[in-house]
Amino acid sequence: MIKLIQLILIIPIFSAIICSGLSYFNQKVSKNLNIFFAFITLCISTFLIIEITHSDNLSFVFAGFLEPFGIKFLFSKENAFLVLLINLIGFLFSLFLFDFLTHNKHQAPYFYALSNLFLVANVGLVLSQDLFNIYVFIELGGICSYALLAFKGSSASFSALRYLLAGSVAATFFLLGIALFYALSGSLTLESNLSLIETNLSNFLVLSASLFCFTALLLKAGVFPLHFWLPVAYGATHPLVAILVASIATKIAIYLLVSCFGGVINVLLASKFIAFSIEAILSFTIIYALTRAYFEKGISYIVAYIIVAEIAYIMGGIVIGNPDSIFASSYHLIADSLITAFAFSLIYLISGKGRDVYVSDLKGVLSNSLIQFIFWVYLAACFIGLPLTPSFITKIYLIKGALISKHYLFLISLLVGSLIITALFFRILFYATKETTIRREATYSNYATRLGIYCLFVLIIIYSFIPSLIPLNIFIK
Amino acid sequence: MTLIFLLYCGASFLFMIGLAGVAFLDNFLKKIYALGFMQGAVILFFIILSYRDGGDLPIFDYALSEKVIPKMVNPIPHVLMLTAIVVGVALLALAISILNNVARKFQTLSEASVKAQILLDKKNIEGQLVND
Repeated sequence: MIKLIQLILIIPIFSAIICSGLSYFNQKVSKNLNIFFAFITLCISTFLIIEITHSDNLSFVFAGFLEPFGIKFLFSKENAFLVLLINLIGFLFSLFLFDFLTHNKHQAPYFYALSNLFLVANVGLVLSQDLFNIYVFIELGGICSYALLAFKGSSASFSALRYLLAGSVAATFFLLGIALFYALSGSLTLESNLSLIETNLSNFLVLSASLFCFTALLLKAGVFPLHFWLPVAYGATHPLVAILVASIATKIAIYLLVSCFGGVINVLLASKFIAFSIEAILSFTIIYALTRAYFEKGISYIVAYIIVAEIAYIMGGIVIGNPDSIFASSYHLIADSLITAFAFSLIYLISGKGRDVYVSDLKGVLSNSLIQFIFWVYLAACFIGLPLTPSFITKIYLIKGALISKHYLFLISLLVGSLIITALFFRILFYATKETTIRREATYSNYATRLGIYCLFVLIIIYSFIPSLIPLNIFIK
Repeated sequence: MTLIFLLYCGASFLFMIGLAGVAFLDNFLKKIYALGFMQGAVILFFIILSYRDGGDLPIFDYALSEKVIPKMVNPIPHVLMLTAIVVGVALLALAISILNNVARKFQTLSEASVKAQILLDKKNIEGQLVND
């Protein structure tokens, strides 16, 4: 069982090396191998989740070195679903890549290496129990995402460079926080430093160390006002890259933020003035992001601004702090990841060879294809929060939590935000159902891409019906 | 003021210069240099943490009596910072390669100029969409 956890980390690294090397000699074999390795990793994650429901947490230390010298990886009931989510998105991405690389053979080594290492970095972030190891995985995931986001060139390179600078500053802040924690506790293990945070947060140095790490993760998560890199990075990049990066990166950062440095949130919320200010900022974020999305013309930019609002929903649920809102945040963390991947996969389907997709490009697409119409309507329903979508459950629990805890400002912003996004998608779908005589560019939609999109669609529907399966305690710490 | 205190001040000052450079400079290449300053400052901070006054190299000598354990500098931060340096070099290489793409496309290293060009292109495209 312990060896299986190691395999979750080793198989994608193996895949990155083997597939990128093999792609120079035999494209077909490398494409199939990439999907095979991704599928194996997904199966192992699923098997481990089934195992962990019957047993205690699983942990191992690399090379047998015990803590504090060794690095421990912990597979627990809290992070199991996140590991599954990352591997699921990775598998679906490998399906999309299958068709894409048929027409872009020279890009194959680049994509195999970067995408697999990105997945390893995020799985490692979730499993690792060592602060410096978490820093290394942050940097590894960051480097892979900067390179992937810059792939399209032109304005995507510019936004990736800005993200690189911001992300590197965040990582440096995190490293400084680690330095202070090491100076205070003499250890790099998460357990000893978390107990330091819990018992000594009033100590100036402990608080400084926590705030450095907390700020770093706020920037990585794209929480307002440190979200400035997010809309342009995800809006300007190739939609295929956004399927992978946009659906995973910020969610894992939020998980780390809350599970490792939730003590800082408790300290901040202890002051009524600061608690109200945070609520006001999150409420403002929702209205601001959705209003910006309404006035954008590029669909990727619209989805990117919606992601900023979704992050505010998740953080809002944490800040409200009662069981219903925390459940909503845990549930929405995974739901938003799936919905984001679905949104960018639909954009990828229309984008042809990765060009920018505007609302006007949807003209005729939906009136000519019933399946695409259903998908776009369901996507709109997901973002609005209509019944039979995961967002409906999220919003119900958030509204319930806000009402119980009397966070009326957040409640109003939730409702106004829903109205704005309804107006936005009415505009998009109304435009998209008009007829057109314009011939569309061929897309890379072969059976693998379509299989990926159908899988995402079915998974989101299934997820909306089984909220009780998700552990309430992703954010329990 | 001890030497250690001055070294900590120096590292903090270097960090602040780097942070100000990344935040306020317009030239991308200079921003990348400033990022290097920040990373160097944190690495220096770690090394200063490991220093012990009068400490020797962290190599245990079996010739000495077992009861006498000499004072040594802490080797762990040095080891950690080797990793951080390698990561920093990889990041720098990636940053410069992306900057190369940006410079070729926009013929400038200035962030403000690139932003202005992108906004202009976006306005032109969106203007055409309205006309269509």
